[in-house]
Amino acid sequence: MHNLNQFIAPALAALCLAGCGAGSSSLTPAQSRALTPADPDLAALYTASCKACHTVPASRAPMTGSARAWGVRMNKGMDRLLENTISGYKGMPPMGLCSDCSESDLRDLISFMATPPQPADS
Amino acid sequence: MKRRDLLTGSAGLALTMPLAGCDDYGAANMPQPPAAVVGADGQRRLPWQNWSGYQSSLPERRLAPASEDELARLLADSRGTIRPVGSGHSFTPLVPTDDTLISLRHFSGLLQHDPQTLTATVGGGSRLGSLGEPLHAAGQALINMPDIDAQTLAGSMATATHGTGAQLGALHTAAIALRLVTPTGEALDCSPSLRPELFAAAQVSLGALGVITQVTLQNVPTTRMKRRVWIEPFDELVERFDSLAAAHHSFEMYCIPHCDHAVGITIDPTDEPLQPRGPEQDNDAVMDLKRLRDLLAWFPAARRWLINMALQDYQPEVAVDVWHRIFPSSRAVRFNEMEYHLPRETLLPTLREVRQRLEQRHPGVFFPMEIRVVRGDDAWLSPFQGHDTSGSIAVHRYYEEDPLPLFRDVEPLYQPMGGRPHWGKMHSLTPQTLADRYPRFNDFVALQSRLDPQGRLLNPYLRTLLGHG
Repeated sequence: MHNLNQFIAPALAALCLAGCGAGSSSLTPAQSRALTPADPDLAALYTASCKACHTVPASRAPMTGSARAWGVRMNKGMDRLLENTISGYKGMPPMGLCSDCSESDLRDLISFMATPPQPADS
Repeated sequence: MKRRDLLTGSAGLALTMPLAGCDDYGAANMPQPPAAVVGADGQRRLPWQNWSGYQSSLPERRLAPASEDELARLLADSRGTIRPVGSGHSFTPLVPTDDTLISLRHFSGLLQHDPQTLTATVGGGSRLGSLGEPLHAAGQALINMPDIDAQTLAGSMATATHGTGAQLGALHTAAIALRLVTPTGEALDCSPSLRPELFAAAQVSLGALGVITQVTLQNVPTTRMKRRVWIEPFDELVERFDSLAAAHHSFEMYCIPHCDHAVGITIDPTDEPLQPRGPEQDNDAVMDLKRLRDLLAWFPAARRWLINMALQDYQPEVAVDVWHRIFPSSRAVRFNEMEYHLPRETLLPTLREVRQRLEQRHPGVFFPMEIRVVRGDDAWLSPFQGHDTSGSIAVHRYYEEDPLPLFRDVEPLYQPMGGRPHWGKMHSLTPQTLADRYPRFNDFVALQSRLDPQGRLLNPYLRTLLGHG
């Protein structure tokens, strides 16, 4: 099954309506995994729910800290991202599987994941 | 066929797309979550939905108690229905309530371990995927894992979630002790020697007996595993199924619908050098099967020919890595699922029937079927109870498409041999049928009533399922 993509996907690429390369990023997974919200409560939510997918390219989720992956999404506006998060969108499950996140938690989590890491000397 | 010819053929067939029609495969029938409403605090009350989005509710309270004392007070003092929620990976409505949802995320992680006995006590709210690294660091490995690792341990046990392997039991069989906080706020430790009846019921509890805050697991020494994936003609792989299941630590088969091939996967302990898994391609492959379905569901012969050709020169994939990086795979394409557990000797004949029915009557289905084996056990509500080994067949439907026509059509095939459904996957069995198939079902219902006399852990689905509806 794995190789099906290699054979058929190119021929069907023109028909592909789904967003591809969602996880593309100049960050390595290890760099993405190293990022954690400064606020301990938000960090706990992030670690329990978002991190499992948003630091793993295979999940197709935009990598935490990737300006490239998040830029196109943030251009849609926070409200749109928030509604997609609440309802689920493509591979993204509703609420990111955070069963006790509030609306403001979700906004903070999105903002954190969309923020590129700052250079060490800044 | 050369690859270039195949691509040209696919592109040519793609030009026939206008003939493919605009079947939405029942998308218009899919349930919609309740709209968010603004609560008294000015905050929006957000709907809860499961992973696939099929189940939903609008809970008034979403709580995450930080300690057992807080959890006990909450259970004893709160009003209305209370449902614990893990990661929301169940396709059955075990969780939905408009009253109170309890998250177990503060009951997570490795709490203690014993290097002599290879046991470890972990929080019930631990995601399976989060246990790999700390257990490996402690020199331990879970005996087995499912191929999805997003679930919490308590949620996995509550639904008898399992991996595959003729000598490997479901996750709940690795538990040697657990702590249950009951609806009256009492914390009860239990094990095969301490409150053994409670333990046998709580191993697979549907989240109906209380909240499992911690579990002690009997683990094995950490090890590398070798995973091999290959493609083989369906009939040949079915012919070899029994010998492969007997010879390998872990064996499963994916049957790709509307083609003549199937996927075999074995996992075995090894000392071979590391050879990490390559980029995950399952999700892309599934979406390619969907695109072919979208184009060619009306032309099954062409669809079958194309998939067969695409799989013809597949090269087996081999990976060697630490156990927790070998068992799970990324499942980024959402779906709804029905899985039945069958007496082992009926597995392969039933598989042929299911495959035939799916291909003849359901051209819209593109998700592979998953076929697994699980060692039997004695937990009261274990679907593997009383079996030496069980065989499992799972069918899936894309999350945006109505799963019920497929599931309703396939489910009768599992009834003559007394099939038992996965508790977290969709089925339509009544309490009367469940009581016939589970010798301790009525004992479980009686125990549930004793621990939860007001039925506060029962949502409408559980009331009906347990015969209280």
